[in-house]
Amino acid sequence: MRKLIRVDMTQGKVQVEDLAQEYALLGGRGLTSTIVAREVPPLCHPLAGDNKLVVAAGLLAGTTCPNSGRLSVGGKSPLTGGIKESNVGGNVAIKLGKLQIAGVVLEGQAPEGKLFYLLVNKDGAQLLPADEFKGLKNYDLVAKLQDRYGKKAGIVSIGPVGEMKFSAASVAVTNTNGTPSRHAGRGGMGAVMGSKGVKAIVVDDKEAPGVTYNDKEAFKEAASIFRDALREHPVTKPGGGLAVYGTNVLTSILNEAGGLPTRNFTEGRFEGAQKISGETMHDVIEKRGGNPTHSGCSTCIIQCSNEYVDKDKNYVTSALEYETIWANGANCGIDDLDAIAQIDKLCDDYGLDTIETGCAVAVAMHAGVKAFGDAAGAIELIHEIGKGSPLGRILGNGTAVTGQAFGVSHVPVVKRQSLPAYDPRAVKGIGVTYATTPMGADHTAGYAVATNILKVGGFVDPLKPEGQADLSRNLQIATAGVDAAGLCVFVAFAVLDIASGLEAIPKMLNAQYGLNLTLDDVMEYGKQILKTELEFNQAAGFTASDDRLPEFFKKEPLTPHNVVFDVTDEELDKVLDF
Amino acid sequence: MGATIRITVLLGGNLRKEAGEGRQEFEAELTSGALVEDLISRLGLPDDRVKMIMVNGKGATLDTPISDGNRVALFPPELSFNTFVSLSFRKESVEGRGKQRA
Repeated sequence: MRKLIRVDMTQGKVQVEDLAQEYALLGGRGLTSTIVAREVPPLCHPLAGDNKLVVAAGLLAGTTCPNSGRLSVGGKSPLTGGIKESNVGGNVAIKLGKLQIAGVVLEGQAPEGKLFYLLVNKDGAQLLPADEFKGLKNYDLVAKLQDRYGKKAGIVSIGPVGEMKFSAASVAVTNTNGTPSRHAGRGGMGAVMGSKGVKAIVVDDKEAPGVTYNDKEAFKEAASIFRDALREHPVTKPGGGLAVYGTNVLTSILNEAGGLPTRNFTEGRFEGAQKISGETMHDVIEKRGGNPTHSGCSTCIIQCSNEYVDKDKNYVTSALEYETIWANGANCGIDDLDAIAQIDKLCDDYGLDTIETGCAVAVAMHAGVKAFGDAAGAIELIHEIGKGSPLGRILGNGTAVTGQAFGVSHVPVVKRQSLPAYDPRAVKGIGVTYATTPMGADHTAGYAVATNILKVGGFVDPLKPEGQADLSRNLQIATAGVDAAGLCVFVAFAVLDIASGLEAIPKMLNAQYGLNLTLDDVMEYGKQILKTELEFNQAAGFTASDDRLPEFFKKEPLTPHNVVFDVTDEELDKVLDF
Repeated sequence: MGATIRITVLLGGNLRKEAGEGRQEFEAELTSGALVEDLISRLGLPDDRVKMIMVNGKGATLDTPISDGNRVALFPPELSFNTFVSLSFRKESVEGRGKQRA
């Protein structure tokens, strides 16, 4: 029986309970969204005591299944005002799985000015004072906690930005090296954690009981088929596209396709793309003796992570990712990889979502606060956020607030969350996802599963509106299922082309939990999660008019293809109408 | 023989090294009327090393004709994933190139 840890921050009480029957088969996003929908008043203020922060491991966490170490961080988002699941890798989810802990729920609010951290281990959980850690950045904080609990402890934490409760605040998670470089960035969940008065959650899995399997042999067999699929596919295999170039493999591809948003979404190609591409990054890291191929998340065999080093071979940051490189690179007109790496490190250290931050800086640049391409200026702005200066407070509360503060009408957000690295005019399918997902503009919400598996017929041309609604719907449903299992979204690339790998997913769930699920059931499960999230948002006041892209995407043609976003509102309204 | 056309070529991933090109992006000359497959053989790339093709930023196949001033991008299998997903190109649209050739 998996357990749930509930922490009442108002009373300072910790309770370890058996996972309620109704939550028994929920994991990851399924668990966070269900708890939030059932227990958080939709109209509450996201930074008030009634909101909850739910941290949940996926259903396969702690097993021998590869790439099963994703962690879901959920609550009502201070950025969007709706339900949020922010997904992150690192080393914590599998430790929770081994401890047979499904998740941690932070409720209520610590007394004003008090700060705590939660220690989770084989004996249960304990709330401890963290006043001495006030204002610490993530790297320093983690070093201090590791002095106490060892390098191997998994740590979930917030930096000063989370303590200041800015809407772009992330929740950091340690990677396999114990570095706080994996982040649940989106939606300001770091601000919710800060509002609870919780600086960190330390997860120590020494002498953990481990996962129990209903049928261990069947699990091993299915996991081995799944592993073979990941090892065989050119994108995910050792030495494959993700391992060699990381997620930044996408810069060249998106730039070529005319969908790389440049200078605050005013152009679709960036003249400096090759200076920041995955190919260039790989060569730079390799030449300097850094690590272009790194396993950032426990159980990961894809290894899309990297360790970026400076000219003197000193570690700068880990997992310099496509989204970060785009948001703070092309989107700000910056073509300096070293500057972008520095920005990534600063964001990780202060506890900031790199996407929201880059988009906010780009909007500020659009307003003339700094010039596009001014890397030193961008770095200066990020320090302002970390310091909590008045300018930093504007930027740190995200792209929408920044646009408002500087009178910019060209503000790329949906539900007040900034758009990620695919321009929806040139990549219309993902534009539909941005518009309709309950998460606010989010690329991962409908990204993962290829069209052929989902029976979407025919070629869906990214530049045409036809077929995009069906495509997005099926992707969103499948992704919710993947998120609940705790699997990395990148496994999709392999299992789409290798049917046995896909079939292994329900087989693993069945063998672990004694179930009889089919693939269709996993899809239905995903649909249920989406329904739960949509109902919460509706009760929180969202209507169809929130499922729209900003109007400039419909009016301003994007170079080089000179296209606008032309999926009709009627089609958007049908996407999640089930 | 036809006139000469000048194009820009972009090679994704390791193709730049496999084609013996120092740079990811470079200019090339082809004979007028050349198809994408002609460019691939000109570069000395084995057929199975090119899986995703774009001409002027749009999905293309081996038998797509190349015109003067075009920009042709070639990506190997290990980079050919997001076209099926984010960009929602269909797998067949790139794999179909084999059939069209036969």
